[in-house]
Amino acid sequence: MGTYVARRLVQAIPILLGITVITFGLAKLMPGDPFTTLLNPHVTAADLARMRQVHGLLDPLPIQYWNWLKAILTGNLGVSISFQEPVAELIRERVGPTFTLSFMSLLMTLVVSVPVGVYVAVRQYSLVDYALSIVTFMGIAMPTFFLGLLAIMLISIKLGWLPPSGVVTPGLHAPFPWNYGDVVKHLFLPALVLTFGSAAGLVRYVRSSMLEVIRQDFVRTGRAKGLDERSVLYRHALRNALIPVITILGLQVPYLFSGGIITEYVFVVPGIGLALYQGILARDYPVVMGITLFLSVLVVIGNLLADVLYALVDPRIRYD
Amino acid sequence: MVGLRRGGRRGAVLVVLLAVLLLASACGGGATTGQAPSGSEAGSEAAPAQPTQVTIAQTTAPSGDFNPLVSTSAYDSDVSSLIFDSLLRYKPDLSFEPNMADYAIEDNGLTLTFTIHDGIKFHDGNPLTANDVAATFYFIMDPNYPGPAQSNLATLKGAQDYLDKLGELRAKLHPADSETPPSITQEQFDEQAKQLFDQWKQGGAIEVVDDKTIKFHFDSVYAPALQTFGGTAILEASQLASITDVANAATAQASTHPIGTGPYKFVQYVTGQYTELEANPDYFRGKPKVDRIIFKVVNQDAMVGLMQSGDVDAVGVGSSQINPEDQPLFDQMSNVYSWEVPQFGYQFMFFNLDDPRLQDKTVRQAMAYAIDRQGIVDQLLQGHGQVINAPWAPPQWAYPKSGINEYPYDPDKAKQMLDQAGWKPDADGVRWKDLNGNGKEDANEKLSFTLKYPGGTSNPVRQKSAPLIQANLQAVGIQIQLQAEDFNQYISEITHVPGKKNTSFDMGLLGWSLTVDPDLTGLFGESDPYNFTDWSHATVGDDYDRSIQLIQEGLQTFDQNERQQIYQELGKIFNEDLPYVFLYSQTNITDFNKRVQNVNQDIRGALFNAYEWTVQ
Amino acid sequence: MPEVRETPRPEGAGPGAASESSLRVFVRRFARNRVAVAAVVVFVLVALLAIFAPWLTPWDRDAPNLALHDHAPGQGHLLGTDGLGRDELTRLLWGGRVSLLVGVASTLISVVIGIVVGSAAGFFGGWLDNVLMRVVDVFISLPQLAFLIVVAAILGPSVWHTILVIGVLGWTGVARIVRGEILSLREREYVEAARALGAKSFSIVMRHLLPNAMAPVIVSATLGVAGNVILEASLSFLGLGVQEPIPSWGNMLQAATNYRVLVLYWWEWIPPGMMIFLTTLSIYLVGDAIRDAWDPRLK
Repeated sequence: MGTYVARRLVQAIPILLGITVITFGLAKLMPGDPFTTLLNPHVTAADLARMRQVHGLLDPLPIQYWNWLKAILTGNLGVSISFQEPVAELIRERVGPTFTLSFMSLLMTLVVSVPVGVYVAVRQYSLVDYALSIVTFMGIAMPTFFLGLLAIMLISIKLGWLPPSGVVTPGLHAPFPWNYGDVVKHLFLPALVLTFGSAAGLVRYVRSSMLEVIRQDFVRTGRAKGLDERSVLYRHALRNALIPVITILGLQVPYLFSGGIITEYVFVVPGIGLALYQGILARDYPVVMGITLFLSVLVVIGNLLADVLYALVDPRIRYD
Repeated sequence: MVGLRRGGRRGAVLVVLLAVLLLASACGGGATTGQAPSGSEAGSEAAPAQPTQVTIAQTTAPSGDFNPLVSTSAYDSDVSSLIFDSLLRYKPDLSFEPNMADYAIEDNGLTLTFTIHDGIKFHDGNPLTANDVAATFYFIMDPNYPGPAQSNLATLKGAQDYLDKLGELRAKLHPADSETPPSITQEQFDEQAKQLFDQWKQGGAIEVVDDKTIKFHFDSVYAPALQTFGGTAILEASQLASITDVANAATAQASTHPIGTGPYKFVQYVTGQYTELEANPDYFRGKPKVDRIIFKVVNQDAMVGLMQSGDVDAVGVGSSQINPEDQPLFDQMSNVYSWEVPQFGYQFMFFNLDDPRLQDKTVRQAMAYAIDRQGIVDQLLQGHGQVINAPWAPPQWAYPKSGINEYPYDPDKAKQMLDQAGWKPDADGVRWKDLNGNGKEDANEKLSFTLKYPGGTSNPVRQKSAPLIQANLQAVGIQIQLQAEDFNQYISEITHVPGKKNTSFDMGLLGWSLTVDPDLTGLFGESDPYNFTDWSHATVGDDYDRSIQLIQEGLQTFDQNERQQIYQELGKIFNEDLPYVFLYSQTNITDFNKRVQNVNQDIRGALFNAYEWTVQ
Repeated sequence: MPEVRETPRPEGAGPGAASESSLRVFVRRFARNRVAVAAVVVFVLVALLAIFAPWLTPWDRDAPNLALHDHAPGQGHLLGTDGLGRDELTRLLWGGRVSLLVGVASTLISVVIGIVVGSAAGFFGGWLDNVLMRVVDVFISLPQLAFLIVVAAILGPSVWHTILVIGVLGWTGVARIVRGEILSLREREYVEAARALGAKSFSIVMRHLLPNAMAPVIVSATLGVAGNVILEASLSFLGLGVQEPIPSWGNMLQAATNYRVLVLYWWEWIPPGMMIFLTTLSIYLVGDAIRDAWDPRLK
């Protein structure tokens, strides 16, 4: 297993390199650069040349890429031009809100989908089952930004229950549990919106996983032995049905850090996704490169984790 | 089964892992919020009275670089304007008065002397001296200075020469044509650039006479000098000296933990969310009355709700303007008062003068008559603005008070003018003229243009004006296709490349904000990147030469009356030639919660007197 | 890479096997699913409304009328007017044209690329497979929406560019499916037989392998249309997709990011949002039903 993981990590290197080359090429293909839109009449052509030189933008493209790569290897992600801070710092600051939001939504998803998924699996082909399958499709089909706007409109504006945007109350120097409470209050709405989509998927997954287990021999055996239905379902079947579900959740861990552009945009959550979006608009090459690399590494880890988890869960899969 | 059960245990491990991550996230997410501010908290311990606080809405997050010499974000400068102070400040009539220093213009305008007032201290307790002023301007002249404003100082003695040499040196390192290899290395560049910089410094353009007196010497009279030197925020020499890597100055302490002499001290910036400032007890005009000022980043569209609920106390402050269409909603709130002031920004529709059809002045003028600009102001701006006819905003003293053509909305006149100039409607009703002289209607003879403008989330009012302009022009036989573009792409396409004809646009919409000083250098010169229209001798003839001459002359006297005369004539040239159809200048509406009083309501903006605000 | 093989499917289970009777079985199974039939009706209705948009309302799509801006439904405007006084219903119908065009056309592009890449990788195997799958890995690892934004910025926003961008970036799913199917079919007797008879590799792929791999591709493409409708809307919502004055449901919704519109003028944003929702929902339901009808055990 160890060698497998090592081999996979080595294999990931060309993929990551490929991603950085593509990202760099595309980022540079975008019209304009960080100083195009300065639109300050007192900036002369000479000023623009100086600013571009200072930020290394006058070098030939291969050299710019090489310089970036060299810096990466020494652990330096460069300095953002539009956010005016080291990219590593930027990512560190922005992971917090992104992760908190994703994690809240993950918890909420779990709380909703596992019971509902089990419930409908047990009542397969019932009316509830059919109704739920339509509801889950609604969850998948509902665009986040539309649901987000609806939520802001109804819950924040009309009812005034939750703040429409941001992560914390400014200037609130609350003591320990209250400051987290403040964050939770701010992120509850976006988390709810995310949950609507992701719970839909997970419910379907829990349902089919549960159905599969129910059909298996040991459940039948349990029933045949005269065990009470409840105990068969919840003690034996559920436990086994949850294994793949947990695997799926494990796979989500890397993505908890990556965040979504749309949700962060609608709810003004200063996370990774929003920073990437703003970085692209500002032609902030170090930010675009840095965050893309960060996200790609997460995906690579996620895929690796997936395969390793599959092997752990399903002994029929073997790596060598 | 055994295998599966083993997997189950590992699943449990995962759950634990997730739980650990939850804790980690809580710490990560909350770390910044848990941080107690340094000074104000200590104060509140002694006195149980709640610190007074005013929360100002910012529609875009600041970059977090609060060094005003380096940052290019207007949202940064709104914050840093409270942290830093400048030597002079301007009066409602836009002339300058002493702030931290008195000034004198000497040597027939070739020397500007500042005498710093006593008792002004930086937030770290050190007194403000002439050395700090000198360090501030030397920093701007550094070869690796990453900010925009260096060439503003080019009129300092020997500075133009130094900057030219620096430019030549840069061209050696990065030849304009990519085939040529560089003839010097980066190390050689750094070394030689430093030599040039030191040589220039030794030339004595900036002369520190004593602790309180500093003189700036010029090669020629530079009228905006009061703005350039008196209006620049002064940083502390020691903080600037601590910036070892000037190119990356944005990441230095001076940017992340700014220390100024202004009424408010920097407390913290929580990325993308808010900036917190606290009153500077040693401020030279006395301790500000509001203990804490928060700049909160909000969605522009959520501002109405936040103002209603009292989550923010002020909107429409500094660069964070409100959409005038939203103002009626603020007007309905009983806890809010508001006022509006004209501002320095204006919008215009510009022409590509390289296009023979648009070189015809009559076509441009006819468009000015054909567009219902007052309608745009009335409908889209809800009356919060005014139509303009010269390249300045109305509050500027250079804006011609009389004697210019107002181009009132008159579609019939537009049609008549086009008819007389030989632009006749074809079968489709689109006008054309036989420019090519071949007797038939070619595509490049039709008054059919693409109007480009920044799309996406950029300036919604401007975007809405495009279909109106289209309909107006269509009504007089000028066909317009609209094309919204990504802002960067758009500016790249319209940016003027000296000596090249631009074929990537016909007409465009844009707006910008000029400085208090009405100098137009940088906008209409043949080598200026922002000369989008290609305003040049080739396109408009002698008017170009005269305009450049007038822009030059406008710089060469400190006498405002004399300058006004010059800009009057300059304004008339643009008003007649219309490289732009000047559209409108929006007024800035500010809304404050009634609990905040004594806020400055003139053109200098609400932040101007933050130290005098009171909270009930 | 672990080779997790799909359970081999019995011959003739899908209509891909091209027997007349199985197609009938498929239709009968599909028709029994009342929800799916309703979804088809909804989708067809939306598509018809979009196609006939120019003839369904008396209003000009782009003509502004400031005297009647932000007007509530009434006065001949069934869904009111927008901020420039343009008829909302007209723009909604036209917007459907754009949204559906982008959704369908970009999916077609993705499917074509995916089939070519997937069948090449699956059939030839070896280093080609390896390289192509690494390319797939790279594409999958890129943050999708961000990538779309970048490419949209490079090409400049327009309907056709949006189609191209979404299409060119969305092929990896189909490629993986086709490759997987072909890998599992490749060793079957009839392919062996075709090979033994001297058939060219291209014709083997075209005549024997692809038709058998089509079932999951069609399901994936159907779902892909829905995903792409949402992607287009997202891109336009961020201001980087289809640009004004051309309406799309996404850029109509963008107008609602204003508090005033959100609170006061529901007719300017609820309808386009609901249209996106209804359209994607019906497509998803149809896709799911197709999968069921094809092979109920796939569920």
